Amino acid sequence: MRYAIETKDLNISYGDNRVIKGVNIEIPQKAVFALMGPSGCGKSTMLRSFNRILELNKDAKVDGEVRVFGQNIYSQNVNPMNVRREVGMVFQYPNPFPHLSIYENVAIGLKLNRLIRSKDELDERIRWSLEKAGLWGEIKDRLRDYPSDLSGGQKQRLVIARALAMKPKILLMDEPTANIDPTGTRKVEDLIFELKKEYTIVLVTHSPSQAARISDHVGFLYVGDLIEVGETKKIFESPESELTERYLTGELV
Amino acid sequence: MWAFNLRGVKDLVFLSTIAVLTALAILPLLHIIYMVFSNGIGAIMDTGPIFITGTLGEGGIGPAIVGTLMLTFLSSLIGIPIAFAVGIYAYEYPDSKIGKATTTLLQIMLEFPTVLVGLFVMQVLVIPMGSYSAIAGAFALAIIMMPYVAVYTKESMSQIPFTFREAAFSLGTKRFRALFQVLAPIAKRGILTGVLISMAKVAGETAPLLFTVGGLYQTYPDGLDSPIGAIPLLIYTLVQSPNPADHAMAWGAALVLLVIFLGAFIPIRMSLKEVKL
Repeated sequence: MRYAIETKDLNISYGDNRVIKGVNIEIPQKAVFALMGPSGCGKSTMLRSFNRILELNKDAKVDGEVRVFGQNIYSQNVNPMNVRREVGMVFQYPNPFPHLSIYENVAIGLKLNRLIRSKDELDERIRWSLEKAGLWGEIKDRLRDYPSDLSGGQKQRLVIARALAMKPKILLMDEPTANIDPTGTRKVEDLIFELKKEYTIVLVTHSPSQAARISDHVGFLYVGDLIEVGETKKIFESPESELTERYLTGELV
Repeated sequence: MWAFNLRGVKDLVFLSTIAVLTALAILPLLHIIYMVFSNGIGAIMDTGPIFITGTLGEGGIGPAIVGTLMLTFLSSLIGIPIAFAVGIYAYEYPDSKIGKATTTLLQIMLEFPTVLVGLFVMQVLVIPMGSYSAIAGAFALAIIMMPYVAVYTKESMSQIPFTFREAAFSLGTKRFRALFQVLAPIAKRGILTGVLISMAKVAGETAPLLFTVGGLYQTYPDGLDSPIGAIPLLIYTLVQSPNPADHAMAWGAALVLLVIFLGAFIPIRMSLKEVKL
């Protein structure tokens, strides 16, 4: 089986501070993979190495390989922009662009990358993306409004639609429900469940219960080390490592 | 009970001190505006519409108004695009050698004596061209406005939350497009404020024009390579005259300058929408 993402001896450091220590991980296709661990364990950093967005942080240094569908994205001839088009991202803080309308927010990636030929094609793609993100019904009459009036959950689904419009194969989600209310959280989680039929989703969460609810596979990261990885059911029922068990029972925070 | 009262008294003393200091700071400004209006309105009323449209010989300041508008427009045309690009560069590469040097240079230029800019432009443009000119004045004003635009651009860009930067780049966008088509529009209000302040500043400048534009008040300007006038420069010239009629005219010109400034600045500033984050 070919994996969506594989890392080989992945090391990430900020200056002298090593935050990811020789991680080897295999993320299967078309499933939800949850990276869980306490705050500051390096999970967001690791997630950001999967689409090279980590490069925006000038102190971060990546060693080792990250293979996306077999291709090492850190090899010399790879353009990070192409990686980012294939690997979409959703963030901890719902961040639709505040100066663009709902419509423009979904269209911006396509427009900037000149990926669309006609207005009709664009309208079509925007409707498709918003439908996929489960948002079309709620906002189809408000496409020209600005996102500031949307609820947190709606904003986050708008960001998901913005990523989906680029037709990525993988979606990275960095604690996508950390800043939204319980109703919004449920809708986003339902959406993730729906999306995994077609996309590989890598989700960072600090909540073991969320990982248990929506993931198929889970990796437990603790202070930069990958302690345990496997099927969610198996890890939650019979963790092999004592650290994992302590984390799942809420002793490690 | 006693402790509570003491706190209340302290609060009151603090608030009233702040109020008095604020009033002291604003008072001179209001006084200037009042003086300009009360002295200027008479001069304009006495002459009538000719004051705005006529040449100096006819008792008007028309050529100076046209000159100020032309100089402001031309210097903006030269200065703003360059300064905007410099500001974006300084924001994007703050740690590079050129980025650091640019930031330092901009801070020096902000406070650079404007009369020296005039002298410099005289050396490099006026003397080789053999004549005062609108283009020399515009060039001098452009040098003065650029640091404002660049610093405001850089600062407004720096205030954009990092998450929007990540979002822009996560769409696979080229750096150039992410900066100019996504991030700069988010910082639009701050950047345009810098542009307006810089335009207001150069519209009111006198020193850089002393050795560059020549001054032209008896006829309307007829080209970019020939002399031109400006309201502040005209005021400076008129005030030096011993004739009280010239002083009255200077007040009138000052009022026109103030009206142009407030008339342009306030509506634009108020129409700029804040981007709600």
